This record gives sequence, C-alpha cells and structure tokens, in this order.
Amino acid sequence: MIPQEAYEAIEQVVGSKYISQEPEVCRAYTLKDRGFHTSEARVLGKDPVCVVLPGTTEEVQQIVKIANRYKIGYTPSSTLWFPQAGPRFDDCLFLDLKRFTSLEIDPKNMNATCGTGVIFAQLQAEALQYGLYTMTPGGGSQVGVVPNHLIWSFSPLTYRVGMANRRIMGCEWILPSGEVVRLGSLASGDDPFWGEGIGPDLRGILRGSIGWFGSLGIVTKMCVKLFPFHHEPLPPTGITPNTFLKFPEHRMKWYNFTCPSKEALIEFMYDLGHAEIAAAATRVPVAWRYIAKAESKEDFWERWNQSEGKHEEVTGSHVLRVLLIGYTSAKQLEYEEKVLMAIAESRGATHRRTFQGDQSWMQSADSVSMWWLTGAFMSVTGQVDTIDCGIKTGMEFAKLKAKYTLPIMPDYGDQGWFQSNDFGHSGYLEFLNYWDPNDTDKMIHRMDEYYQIAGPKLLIKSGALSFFIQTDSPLTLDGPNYGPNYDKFARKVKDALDPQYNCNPPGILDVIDEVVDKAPWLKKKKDWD
Amino acid sequence: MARAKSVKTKTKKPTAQKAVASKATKAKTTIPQLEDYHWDALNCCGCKGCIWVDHVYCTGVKYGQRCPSVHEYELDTYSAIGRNKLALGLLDGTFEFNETTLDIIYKCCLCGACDVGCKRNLDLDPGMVLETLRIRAVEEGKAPLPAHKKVTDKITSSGNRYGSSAGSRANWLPKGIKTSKNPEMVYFVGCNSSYKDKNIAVATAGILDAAKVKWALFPEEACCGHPYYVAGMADETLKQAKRNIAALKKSGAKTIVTSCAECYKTWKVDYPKLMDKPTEKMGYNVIHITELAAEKIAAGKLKPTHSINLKIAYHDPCNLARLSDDWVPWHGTRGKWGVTEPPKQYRRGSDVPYQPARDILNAIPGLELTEFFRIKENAMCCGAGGGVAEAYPEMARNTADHRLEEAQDIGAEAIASACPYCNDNLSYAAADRDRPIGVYDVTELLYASLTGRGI
Repeated sequence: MIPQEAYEAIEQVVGSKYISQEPEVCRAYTLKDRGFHTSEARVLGKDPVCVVLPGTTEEVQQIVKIANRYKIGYTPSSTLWFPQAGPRFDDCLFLDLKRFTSLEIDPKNMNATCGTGVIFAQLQAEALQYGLYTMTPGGGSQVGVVPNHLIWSFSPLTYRVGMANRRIMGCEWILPSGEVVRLGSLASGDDPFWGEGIGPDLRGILRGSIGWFGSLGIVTKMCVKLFPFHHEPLPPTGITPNTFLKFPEHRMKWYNFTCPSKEALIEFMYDLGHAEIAAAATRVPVAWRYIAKAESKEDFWERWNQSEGKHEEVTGSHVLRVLLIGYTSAKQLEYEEKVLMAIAESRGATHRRTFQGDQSWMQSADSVSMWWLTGAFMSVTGQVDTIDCGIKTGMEFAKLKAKYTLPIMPDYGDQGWFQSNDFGHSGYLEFLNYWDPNDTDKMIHRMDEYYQIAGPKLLIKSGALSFFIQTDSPLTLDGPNYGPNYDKFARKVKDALDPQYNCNPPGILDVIDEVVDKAPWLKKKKDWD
Repeated sequence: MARAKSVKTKTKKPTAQKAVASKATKAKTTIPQLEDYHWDALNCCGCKGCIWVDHVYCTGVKYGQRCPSVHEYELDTYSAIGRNKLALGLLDGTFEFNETTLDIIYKCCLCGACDVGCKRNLDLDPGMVLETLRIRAVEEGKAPLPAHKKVTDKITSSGNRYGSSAGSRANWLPKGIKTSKNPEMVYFVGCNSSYKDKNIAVATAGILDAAKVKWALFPEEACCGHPYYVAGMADETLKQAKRNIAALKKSGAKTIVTSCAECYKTWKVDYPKLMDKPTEKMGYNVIHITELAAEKIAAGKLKPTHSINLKIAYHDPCNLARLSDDWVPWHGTRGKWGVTEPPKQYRRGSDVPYQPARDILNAIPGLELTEFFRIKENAMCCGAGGGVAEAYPEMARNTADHRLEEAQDIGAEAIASACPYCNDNLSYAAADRDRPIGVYDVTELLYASLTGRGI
C-alpha cells in the first residue's frame, strides 16, 4: 500500500478515473504472470500496489513530487514490453503513460513530436502520409516510440536511418526531482528541430547507447527524426494474420541472396555500405523463414522437424536480405539494383525469389511471433560492434546454446540475427533463444543458468559489450571487465539525480545479481563476489 | 501429425492448473470451462495485439485501437491482458468474484477484437477466456448482473427479450407477402426485428420474396438465447438451443436465414460450442440475409435499380464478421513447446462474410460506399455487444459515438450495418450526441433500391 495521504494527493492530480489500488486492477500490470516467463519476471516480478494514468507532463511532475515527499518507489512505462520496465519491488506505484497520445508531424523539417503513448505502427502510418518514414524496431510495431528511442531501437532499417541516440531531438524529461529538463533546441524555444541544442548535449546521459529503463526520470514527449521516403502508396492487403503492405515494385523491393560462405556474406554487407546503396541489409535466422511460411505453431513444428540435414541447412545458410528503395525516383531503384547485382556477382552470391511486400520492418514488425514458437523467448545478447565481430560472438553463442539444448529449442547452430548499421559502420547482433515455459522446473532452472550466468560469462570472455549486460550487471559480474569506472560513473549519475532511489528502484545496474541472489538454484552456482 | 518429434522431455503441467479443482470440471458437461483456457491465459505475454489494429492496417493514432474496453477505461485491466491475469487469479484462488472483478469481466463487448488480434501472432484464445469467465461467474452464483437479469427474466417468461407477447411475434409480416408451405429455408427473425425495428424484418421478407426464394417463418420462434449467453448463463442458452433446434427439425427445413447478426452467430457458433459439436455437424446451415442477397444479385436474380444518393460507410457487426467462424471443438493435449495434439484448428475471423454486405451496397445505384479506417477484423465494435448496452449504457454510447466520429472523419453521410443492435446503438448515440449522420440496415437500403420505396 502507498500511504493514504499520498493516494489522495495523487487522486487530486489525475482524478478518480485514473488511479486505482484495487489488487484485481493492479494485477494487469504484473510481470509475474505476464507471460514473459524470464527469470527476472518470475523471480522479481511483483504486482504494483497502485496504478496511475497521468495525462499531462504537469501531472507527472506532481506525481513524482508526491512520490518523493512520501518516499514511494515508482515505475513508469508506456507499453510494458520489457521486464526491466515492470514493477519488481514492494509497494510499487506504477505510472501507465498510455494517455500521452499526441503526435505532431512537421513535414518541412522532417520530424515528429510524440507523446509516450504513441506506438511505432501509428507513427509510421502517419509519417508515410507525408512521404516520410522511420524504422520499426525489433521490439515490434506495438512498442512505444519514446521508450524505444530511449533504450533500443534497432531494426534492419537502421542501416539507413541510423542509431536511435542520433534520431532523438528535443524532448521533455522529468527528472526524479520532479523538475523538467528540455533537451536540444527545446531548451531555448518551442521548436524541437535540433537534437544537440545550445548547451551540453545531455542525450548521452538520457540514453547513451542503451538508456536507463525509466530509472533516471520520465520522458513524456520527444521529437524524433523522420526521413524522406517516396509518395507511392503501400496498399494494405489481406485478412489477419496474412496481411502485408503491397510494395510498388518500381520503387521498393526486397532481394534475397544466397552467399557461398559467411565471409562472403560479411563482405557483401561491407560492399553495400561502401557503395552507399540500400535501405536495409540483414541476415535472418533460418527459423524465421519457417515462421513466415507456417500456418500455425503445429505447422511450424511439422516443417521444422521434417527435413533431414537440418544442421547443415542452418549452418550452411548464408542468406542476405537487402531492401532497396527508390526514394527519389524509379531510376534510383534501377541504379541501385545494378550496383547490387554487380556486388552479388563479385561475391559469388545467387539471387533468389522473395515476397514483395512489407510483412516486417516498414510498418509491421511481429516480435510477438518469437513467443509463438515455443511459448517463451528472450535474447541473450544485443550488441553493436563491427559486422564481423558481432558475427563471431554469434558463433560462440551458438556453441554455448548447443550445450543448453534442451531446454532451449533445437535450432541446429543458428548464429542469430545480425545486420549492418549506418551503411556498414557497425553491425548489430541479437542472439535469440526460445524455450518451453511449461517445461519441468529442472529444465527451467537450467535455462535461467544459461541466461543469467553462462551467457554473461561468455560475453565477458569474448569481450562483447551486450546491451543486456551493460544494463543488468556492470556492478560486479562484468562492469569492471569493461572499463575501470563505467559502473561507478553510472551509479554516480543515479545518485546525483535520484538520491532517494524512488525512480524505478533498485536502479538498472544490478538485475542479474539480484535475480541470482533471490533464486536458490542460481545462487548455488554463483562463483563471483 | 504435428508434433515435436525430436524432443522427449516430459512436459510439466502449470502449477496453477493443478491447483484448480472446480466442481464444474468434475461434472460432465459440454459447456466450455475456464480451466480449458488456462494455458491461453498463462501464455499471454502482454504484447497488446489484443488492443491495436493490425499494424498493417493502422492509419495513425486516433483510430489505432480496436478494443472498446480499453478505449473507454484505458487501464490495461480492461484489456484481454488484464482479464487473462484476473482469470489466473480466480483459478488459483487469489481473487474471488466481487464487485470489482465482475466490473472488469462485464465491461467488455465480447466483440472478438482481442481474439483476432491475438491470433495474428500467438494463437491464444482470449475470447474464450472472456466467455468462460462469465460462465464461471454465473456458476458461482455471482452473476448475471441485475441489468442482464432484467432482460433474461423476460426471455424466460415470454420467449423474447422485451417481455412482449409471444403471439404478437409475427405481427410485422405484411399482408401481401406469402410464405411457402414447402420452404427451402426458414427466416429466424430475432427479437429486435420482430418487436422493435420491424422495418428490418419487412425488408428482409421483401428481399426473400423478390429473390423468389421459397421461405417460411421459423416455427414458434423464440429468442435465440444470445442475451443469456453474454450474461454467462450457459445452461439457459443450451436449453434455448435445444428448444430452437427441435423446432427447426419439426419444420423439416435445413437452412435458417437471419437478418440479425447476433442470432446468426448464436446459431452458427454458440449452439455448436455449447453442444460441443463442430458447426458442420449440427445438421443445419445458417446464412445471413446479406450472404443470400449478394449471391442473388451476383446471379442476376435480384436487381437493385432505384438510386439512393448517399455516401455511406459499412460497419461490420462483430457477430456477423470476426466472431462468426465455424466452431470447431478441440479436446487434445499440449505437448512440448505447447504444440497441440491433435492439431487445433484456430478460429481467426478470416473465413467469415465480410464481403456480401459490401457487394450489396456497391450494387445499389447512386450509393457510394466508403470505408471506415477500421474495417473487417479491425472494426471497432458499436459498443452494444456483450450485454454492455444493458449494463453499462454510458460505455455503449461513448463507443458508438467514437464510431460515428470515425464515419464523419471519412466523410460518410450515413452508416449501414447488418445488425439491428448495432443500428439501435449507433442511432441512439447519433441522436444523443447530436451527430447528423443517418444509420440504416443493409436490408432497408436494398429493399428501397429494389422497390423504389424511400428509406
């Protein structure tokens, strides 16, 4: 329970419709039974004791100030699509920010100012009406634009539109003190066109490479970059679940190439960047191709289990998927296609047929289908590195995963999803894992060991900087391994901005240690201080 | 056979499922139980596919949602996610049926938007979780809600939801229309068109006549039982089903035509569901008048000739659209990875009559069909469904008003639907909220175009 006085004060701010502390109401926001099934959710997940839905920046400020006055821990969230952004401590006041639905597009300056409740599908749909676009992230079209820009925001389209920290422009950031900081050009006027702003660029603290999952304050409004697209319509077609945006093929097309080797695929990706062509370049896990063809979960497993030589099929699959867009004209597409084919030829790649429509990445990204396969999913690493370094980590993880299969779904050595970013300046690797949440306790605990202990150790050993590890446990397990003082610096920022540790406590830096300490089956395997 | 053949690990049953030992599951019954959908509730990962319009069809912020409950009450509690978690809490004894839980359960139109959304990516059955929650509430003696009881008592006493006399049920039938003694099909009129919006019944009869169909009125018609079902009164619905099916058998007819979307879905989906039979084995066919009329127009046997100059939007009634896939029972087991054995057939709202009403409207001269932003499986409910109109009229009107606003935003002068309850609620809201927009049933428009009578 939060103190009655605090409850009444918050009720005064938002009105009785937008606050509840009834357990049956609050249960909707728990991570414990929310189907994530991750160890964080199972071990740390709790029901909030109070849910509040503020509607304005001022209301959030007042709630934060009341929370500080009564020393109440609070967790803000937009779509609640990440375990770290869920309630995981006692007496949590949960701020559901879905009422922030404002969206203003400035077509001349190519940006959109979004409230925290706006999701990517909505932003993309409205942007396309102006001949503009942004990427739709791996998290899915259903995730919030603002929080995703704060923590992640990768998709094959980041090849062209770049990293999220550089797509953030002006924003309203409510500090844990309740004060509002306006970043970028919003600091000195009403136009959010300029991300860097006139003073120090605080985006490094707001997000850096990954962000703070709501533990350094609450962003209620953000201006994000949009990019020029073309004005040809992308007609929506089909009935759910078989829906897609039809491509105008003279202006945009997917190309699939089978490369003779992993090395050839990597060089192909670098060549694309050198030639400064394409809108996306990505290698997709083999299972995704089966997902795309399957009519149901049962159909997927029928197909996946059928063919002989699956290991060879998976490890020998070097399919590169490239999206070309004629942004300015059909001629641009023609030109880029010629360059693409020339590169393919030089790398010994064979052009394959593929479906010409958007089933993912423009307006639709079905991250949820990751849960559909087995009932549970999580990525054990997400990292930006050079393209080839990222792939090496994927290969190491494939070996580790083999040791933990089962409980992990057999995927026969797949090395994960990797792609080129920023025209090949960097690569992105995400290593995907599927398991059965209804398995025996013994198998579930083995899964937890893989995720919380074996995986992070592999990352440390291979020197890979995973976003998950960076946010989860730089304190003791891996922080010191990455640098002498990153974890200390991060803690000082938190101490300075949130001395009471009310804002999404206990902070973002110690989730692994906390899970390990609270789960006896993990604690007995802990071999670090 | 779809199984994970290479995997031999034993699957552990979820703990909560073990803990459940309700009287209902012990007794033999064909009525679906909440426990049957425990797996679905447990494996909801909270993606909110139940709330948003299919992303491919999303047009932006304003009309980006399709869940009327969340539109009205905003908390996740009122989404399928919240109700799934509530179901788990009721099953494991954390929660009980009380004012709050009943409020969460019944402030829902049972419109199926969450169900088709979930089946885009997860193939869970949130729709059945919602329905069995209500069935359980009644079994526990905590429901029906007083507002629902008012209606269902009338059905029990007089065979129709208005408490009108059974003898006056067919009073709407115009004298000039003759029914057949050897009918190909029987017209199940429904309570609304029998007693209230009789113009729909008149138009339907006129269309059947014009199409030279041999038809008759359903013998000794009584309510289909839909109000019972949405209140959670499964036993009473089953009784009504048996009564009506017996009456149909007596008539010798094999095909039922309806003009009401609720009756259509009840006959097509809920009767089989409560009898635990597939729709195709029920021994009868159900068609909606829009399906029949569209077929006759395509075959040249109905010719709408009189112009109706209107720019009109078609509102997909939930019960005629995404909710009306054939019922296919599934009694199997889940193995490794949750794979079903025998393979479950998923009802995704994809094999349903979205098109016939549109074909009819397109065939009417002068009528310009324009589409809502949210159509077919993505349509926003009118707000009347699931007993909401009776128990939570403010939510019903607000939802209808939101739909009217959408119609105005696409420049429609009027809305056509194919369900008397949608028409009622939308008309009421248009008057109540002062929105100058007409609301018609498709049958009225077609009949007017066939005959030249005004609308």
